[in-house]
Amino acid sequence: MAYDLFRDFWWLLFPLSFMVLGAFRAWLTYRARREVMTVLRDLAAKGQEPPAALLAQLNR
Amino acid sequence: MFEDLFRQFWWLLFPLAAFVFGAWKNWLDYRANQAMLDLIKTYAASGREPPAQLLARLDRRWRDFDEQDEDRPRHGFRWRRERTWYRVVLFGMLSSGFAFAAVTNIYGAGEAFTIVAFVLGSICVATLVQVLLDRNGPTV
Repeated sequence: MAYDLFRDFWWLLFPLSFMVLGAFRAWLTYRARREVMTVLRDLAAKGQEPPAALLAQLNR
Repeated sequence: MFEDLFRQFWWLLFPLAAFVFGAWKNWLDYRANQAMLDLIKTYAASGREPPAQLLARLDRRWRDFDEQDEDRPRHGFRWRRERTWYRVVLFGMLSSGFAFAAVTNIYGAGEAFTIVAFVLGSICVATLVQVLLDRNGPTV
């Protein structure tokens, strides 16, 4: 049964992989933004001005 | 039984995946906005003004902001105004392909292809209307 299904629908692996990759990429982008904001928060807590390059990272 | 169900409704994977992906993106955006608000609270607690860039970021949703950022090339696809004709052609061709698949009953899944052809055709026509009725006139 599983063999027949795979033989008929193997091509579904491609769109499904793209979907999983897209979700993973969205998660990584979110992680990167969160890291930037953590650094910005630490700088703000210390009373330091954040570098412009770091702020620009938020637009990534 | 599961095999029969899967053979009949495999195409449902696509709309369901789109819903799940949309919910996932919204959840991540929500979490990012929460982190942003925490950051601004830190500024407020220390009695300082947050940088203008931070506040500007808060004004827009994450994805909208990405679209505004024209200077820097991005890997993702941007739905700019010039792209609307591209979408008309793309969805038109896709819809035609699926309509052909439905008529010739490829893989014995003619009914599923009919639905896909209608959905893609609707997007094509809606984009065409959007292009033609744009405030600034058609882009071409």
